[in-house]
Amino acid sequence: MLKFVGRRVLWLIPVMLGAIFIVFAINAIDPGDPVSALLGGSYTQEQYDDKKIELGLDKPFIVRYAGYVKDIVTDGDFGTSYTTKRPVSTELVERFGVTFKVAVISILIAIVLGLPFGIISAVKQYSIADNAVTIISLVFASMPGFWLALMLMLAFALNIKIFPASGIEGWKSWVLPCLASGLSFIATITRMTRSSMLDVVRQDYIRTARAKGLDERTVIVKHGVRNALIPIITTIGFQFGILVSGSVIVETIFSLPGLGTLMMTAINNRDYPVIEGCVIIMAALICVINLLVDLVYGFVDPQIMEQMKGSKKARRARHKTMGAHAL
Amino acid sequence: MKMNWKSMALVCMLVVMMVFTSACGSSSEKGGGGGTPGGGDTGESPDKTLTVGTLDAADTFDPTVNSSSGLGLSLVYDTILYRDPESGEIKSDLAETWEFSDPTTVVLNIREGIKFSNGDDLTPEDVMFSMQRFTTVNTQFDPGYANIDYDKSTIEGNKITLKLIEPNPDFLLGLCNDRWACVVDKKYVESTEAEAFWDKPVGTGAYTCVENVAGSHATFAKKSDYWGTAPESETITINYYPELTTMMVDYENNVLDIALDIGESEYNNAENGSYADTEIKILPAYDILSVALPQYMECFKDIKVRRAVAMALDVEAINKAVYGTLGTTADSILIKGIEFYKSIGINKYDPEQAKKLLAEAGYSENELELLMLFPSMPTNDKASAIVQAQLAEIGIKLNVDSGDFATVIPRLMNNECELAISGTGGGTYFASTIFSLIDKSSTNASIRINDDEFNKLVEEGNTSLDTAVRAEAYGKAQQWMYDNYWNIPISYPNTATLYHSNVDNVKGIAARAMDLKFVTFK
Repeated sequence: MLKFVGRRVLWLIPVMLGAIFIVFAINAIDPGDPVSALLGGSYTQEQYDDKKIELGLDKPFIVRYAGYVKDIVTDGDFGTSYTTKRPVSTELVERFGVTFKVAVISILIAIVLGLPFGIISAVKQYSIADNAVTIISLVFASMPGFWLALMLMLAFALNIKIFPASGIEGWKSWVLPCLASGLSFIATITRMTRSSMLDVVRQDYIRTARAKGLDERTVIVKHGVRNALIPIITTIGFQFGILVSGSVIVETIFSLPGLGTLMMTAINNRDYPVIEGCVIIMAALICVINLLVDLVYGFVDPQIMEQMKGSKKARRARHKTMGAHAL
Repeated sequence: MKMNWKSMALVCMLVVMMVFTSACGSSSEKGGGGGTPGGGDTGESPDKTLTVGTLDAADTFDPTVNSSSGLGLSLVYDTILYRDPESGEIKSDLAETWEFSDPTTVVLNIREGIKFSNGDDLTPEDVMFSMQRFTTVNTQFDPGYANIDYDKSTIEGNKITLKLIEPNPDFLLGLCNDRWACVVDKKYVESTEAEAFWDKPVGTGAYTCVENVAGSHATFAKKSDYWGTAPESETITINYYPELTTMMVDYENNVLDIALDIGESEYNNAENGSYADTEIKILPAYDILSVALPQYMECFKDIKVRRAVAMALDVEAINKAVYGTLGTTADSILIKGIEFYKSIGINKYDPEQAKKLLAEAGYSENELELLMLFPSMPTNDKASAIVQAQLAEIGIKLNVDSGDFATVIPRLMNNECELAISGTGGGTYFASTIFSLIDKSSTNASIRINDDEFNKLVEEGNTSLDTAVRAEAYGKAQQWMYDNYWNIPISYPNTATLYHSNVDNVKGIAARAMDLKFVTFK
């Protein structure tokens, strides 16, 4: 198990190097110029050249890339923001918590609501409940995120006045941003749970479980949901990545100082060190989430756990039908 | 006790719903409002907390680097001199007395007994150091301090004698600026890292910075031992908003006492009474929107073509479409409200005459094709679309291209723009500054005018210490611009600020340069 985790962590190194290289390359070929952005619309060639040297942009691409990686590895130094003159690591630490908090709460809302809705929908297929859940899911899934966020703000911050429209202090501040992020994912998780559960409940082992006289709750929860979880977990991991990387809309509307708004501002200003820092943090977070998702697979499915442990028994079991272990 | 799956699902849903509906506890919004203006709950402001909303981004409190607004700077720092925003009169601040002893010598007497927020004494060396920092830390941005000969300037006791390389009659006004004239603690700056300016700035101002949360807010606490008139607000919080809607919701919910620079649509809403208990303050943005004809374009060397372009533009219609009720149609290249502004006249709109002039210049219909290139922003986008349509009426094909600042500026500097939209960016208070953007010293060729007569007039206005001579020279320069059509003024934008009636004395030279320390509570 540890070997598996260790191997996956080692994989992070080339992934991160690749991510840094790609963002460096994009910055290099991007038509925007950070020196011009900093100097504004009026500067002399001498001032331009001085600023370019000051920012280190006069050096060749590969030298900058190697220097950047070296600074991160040896000193944990992500550079200094061109605009605020603050260490990028300080800005990332300040902002990461906000984005992470919104993403985690949003995904929890989506799981807590989406999973039961999906199960009810599958178990009661074509019932009124199923149709209601399907319609509600489609409505939320088809709403643009910014519109939903604005509507929530107008309803709950302006009209009913029970939640603030902005800010990061107190639990109330998090409700609207997390709802705005989470509601559309409820639809995704509900639809995925429904479809996965429908596959599972038609399997022979479910019929067998019922034939053995198990009560319906045990059949659905222990044998049904557990076997349906793998694609749902994959979706949740994927959605978490989307929530983190797509946080800019919710952060802008609710005025949250998160990674999304930091990155957006940095892109507009061509603040390369900040852009690179944000990409590294997001890439690392998505890698970690993928690793966690893989580990959760193992806990849900003993066959996968055995594969992670690398046993011969597991390799043999690999060919057996999914879900047979449940019986 | 066993629960069936339905019950579990129901309990889960109920728990989540309870979280969302049991929302009657204490509020702790950004910047700490709390239901009523000033943050109190009773309609009064017992703690005298002032909360202000702005669309500016949080920035460092290093005066040489700060590029957003002077709001926080004016709380933390005092300036060398002070200019009354209403009367325009120069008054003492850290410098008790000031005088031009000759055209290139300025004598300042710095007050004694003033302390920085860290306990250090203010010295004349701090004042000199603060000016000189602009020539070393940020060489691109020069408020006139590069014109000081620091080797020949002297300090004797509290007296600073500044030797200017060239006469600069606007020098004293520069010493009043809410950013350029901030005085920093030399000892502190030399002993700390640049990042200390972010949330631990040290100044002599009425407030100290308690926190500066990037992308959210900055909070300032009143200093008990401030040397000047003690302000009323115990705490001032500046909330930074990336989105106007959010700011206005917070204003309407009384989280904010003041909402700065709200834009035309919200101004109209306020005028129509959409915001209860509200006063409106209109101030000039000290900006000008104009259409500039680059001198490097061969076609514009013929005054008939320039005149045709000018006559094709209905500037009143453009002003109305771009700024609506918050715009004033421009009638000079200088901004209305600044010293030496002279009303020359609104550009004449006559498309028929424009067509004739274009034909006389030898251009047939659609023969002249130009590229308008500009940084994308709502005002530029709107103005360019109308200019495009109006030029099309006289047979000039205008291609419009825009992008973000970082992408467009290098192209502008590369002379790719064939018809420019220009502005000062706001906060331009001096005639010399406006002319420096367009005269021979301008680094932007698309708006630079290199004409002997014009440059001579501007130079005379920039350097003479005689106000009457300056007024005449600048007046002629404005007339010259009107007669030669190199730059067609369109609009002077104004800004609107809303504030609840619990506060008073909301004043400043511009919306984003409000001097918040003067705000009082009713």
